[in-house]
Amino acid sequence: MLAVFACKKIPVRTDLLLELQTIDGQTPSQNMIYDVQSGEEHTLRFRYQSASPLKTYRVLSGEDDDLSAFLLNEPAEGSLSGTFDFRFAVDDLIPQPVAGGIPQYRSVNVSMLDEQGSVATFSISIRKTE
Amino acid sequence: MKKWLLFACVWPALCFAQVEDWYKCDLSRLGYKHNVLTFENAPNGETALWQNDPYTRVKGGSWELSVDLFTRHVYFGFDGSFLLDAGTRLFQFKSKERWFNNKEYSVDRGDLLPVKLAFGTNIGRYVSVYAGGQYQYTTLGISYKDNSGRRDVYIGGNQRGAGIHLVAAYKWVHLRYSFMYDWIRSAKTYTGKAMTSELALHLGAAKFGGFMKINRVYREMNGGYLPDSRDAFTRGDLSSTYRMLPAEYATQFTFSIGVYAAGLFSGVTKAGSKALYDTETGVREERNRQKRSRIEYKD
Repeated sequence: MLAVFACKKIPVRTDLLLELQTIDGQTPSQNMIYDVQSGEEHTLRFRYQSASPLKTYRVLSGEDDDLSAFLLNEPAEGSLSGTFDFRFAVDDLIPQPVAGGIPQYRSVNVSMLDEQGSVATFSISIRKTE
Repeated sequence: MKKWLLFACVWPALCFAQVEDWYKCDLSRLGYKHNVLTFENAPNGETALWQNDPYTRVKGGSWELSVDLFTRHVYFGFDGSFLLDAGTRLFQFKSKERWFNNKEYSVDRGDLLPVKLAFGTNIGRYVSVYAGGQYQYTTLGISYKDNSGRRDVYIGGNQRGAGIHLVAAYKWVHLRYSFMYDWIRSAKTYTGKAMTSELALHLGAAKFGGFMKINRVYREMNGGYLPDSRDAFTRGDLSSTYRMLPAEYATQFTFSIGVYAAGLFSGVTKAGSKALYDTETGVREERNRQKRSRIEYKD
């Protein structure tokens, strides 16, 4: 038993899939910049799937700017697959007004980790125009 | 001839019959070590592509310099292989390719002075059991220099845990099997575990003989959003930006063969430090001589 324990093999990991399924119910384009306008509300629906249970996740803008307050139904830790929504009012997510025609940006970075140690990340930039 | 006669008379007294006869023997080992390091390298999001070949296997030779000491109730083990490896590295030409550093990759490999201390007793004449703890500072990693697409691996930190050691001795044979379970921790937040099994076989008499050692370590580091605190990365070899890091896996297999002799460990370390001392003294004397000659020249 001990010998078996010590001769533990390196596991072959499988991918953790994370994708942007829909934006406001529509299939999104491959464009990584999403144009929005002041006063609007939008919903990004993400889908994840894995061979091993979900361990942890982060929804951030930049390195430590937590955006999890915008999550509608949060991913369930320990689940193998599911969907979750990122719902935002444009003026809440990007409070700065658009001045002089120069758009304001905020990135949304989703990263997930499963029990096997596989990582999935997804980034999209929200561009606020007038 | 007299010496040989004396040796023939003394020889039976040097041979053992039971575990007790190996108490207080200085099992200092010096030999060749063959390393096989296996890293899991599948990049994030592409593991499906790499599923048939997610590993890199690195093989090469290094030194074995370690010591085992047994008494009835205490087992002490110390591994100084790192000292000889580091010493050898200092005298190697830097430009030449090595098995651990070449155009393809560079392997970081440091088992910094593993020490084992365990307590136990003998069960009957031929077997004894010890249980205790061990510590080492581990560095194990690979970074790629070419565009192979493989993911760099880093495993490391303070590695400590508990272990059990089974010892069997019969006549000229002394066998030790150890199983050790360790927790690895670096920069507080980067954690993992290690499982080590080691088999050491000594064949010979009280003061000298041959040995063979097999050691296998399985290590894994937990993935996560690291580091958790801003100043943590300064204390560990972690990314300076916050990132979702994947789990890391690696195994380390070593096979060592060589001789054991009482006093070999202290002898080699003394010789090493003396060589270093002599070199340093030589350099200093040379510097002083140059300084003197320069001063004289000025006068």
